[in-house]
Amino acid sequence: MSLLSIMDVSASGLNCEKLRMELIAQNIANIETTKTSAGGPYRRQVAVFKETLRNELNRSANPGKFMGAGVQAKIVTDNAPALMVYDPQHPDAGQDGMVAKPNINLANEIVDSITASRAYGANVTVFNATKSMALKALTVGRG
Amino acid sequence: MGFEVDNTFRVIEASLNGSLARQKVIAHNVSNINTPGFKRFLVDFEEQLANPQRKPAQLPLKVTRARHISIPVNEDFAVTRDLSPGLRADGNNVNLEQEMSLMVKNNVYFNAALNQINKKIAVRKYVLSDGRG
Repeated sequence: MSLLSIMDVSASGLNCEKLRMELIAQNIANIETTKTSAGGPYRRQVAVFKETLRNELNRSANPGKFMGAGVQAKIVTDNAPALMVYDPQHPDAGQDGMVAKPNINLANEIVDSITASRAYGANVTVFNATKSMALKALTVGRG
Repeated sequence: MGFEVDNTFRVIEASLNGSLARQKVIAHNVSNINTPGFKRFLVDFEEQLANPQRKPAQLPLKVTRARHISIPVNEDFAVTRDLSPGLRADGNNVNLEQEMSLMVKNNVYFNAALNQINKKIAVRKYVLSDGRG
C-alpha cells in the first residue's frame, strides 16, 4: 500500500472519464454522419465501465483483502436502430424519402458529458488530496 | 529505557496505515462513480485499532541474514463492502459528497498523525542535544 498506488487508482478514473468524454465528442461530431466505411449511418459509441480488481486469480486465497484498483472502460457500439428522418432532398435518402440518421440523442450526450466532467473533477480532487498526503509524509523528521 | 519508551510510534504508524487504506478505498469508490452496479467499499480502521483482540497481520520483510531485522509492514485492515441499494437507478451506491467529506476528514487525520510523529521526533532531538537544540 503506497500513496503512489492510490494515485494510480485515481488516474484510472481520470483515464476512463476522459475516454467517455472523447466518445461523447465523437458522437456529437458525427451526429449527422449518414455514411461510414462500414456502410450505413454512424452508430453511437459508449464507454462501459467496470471495476478493476487487482490479482483476481488470487482473490480466493485471501478473501478479506482489499483488491480494488480503480476502474477500466470498454468501448461498445450502441445497437439501437438508426433514426429514420423524412428528407427526400438528402443524397442518402431511400426510395421512400427516408434517411437513416445516427442513433444519437443530443440531450443524452450533453447530460453524459456533464456527468463525465464532474466525475473527472472528483478524481482530480482525490488525486490532489493524495498528493498533499504524500508531500506531508515527506516532512517526517523535519519538525 | 530504550528509544521507544512508549508505543506511540507504533500506534501512529498503525493509524497512518489505516488512513492510507481509507484513502485507497475512497479513490477506488470515486473512480467507480459511473460504474453501473458498483457497491462502495469502506474501512473502519479506528474500530479495528481499538479492538484489543486485533491481531496485526504480520507480513514480515524477507531477511537474507539472520541479524537483519524483519519489520512487520502493511498492517491489513479489513475492508467491508456496503451492499445497500443506493439511490441511483444503475445500482451504484457511491455518494460523491459523502466520499469527499470522508476524504477531507481522512486527510486531516493523516496530517494530524504525521504532526504527532514530527513532534515526538522533535522532542527526541531536543533531548539528544542536551536541551540546547
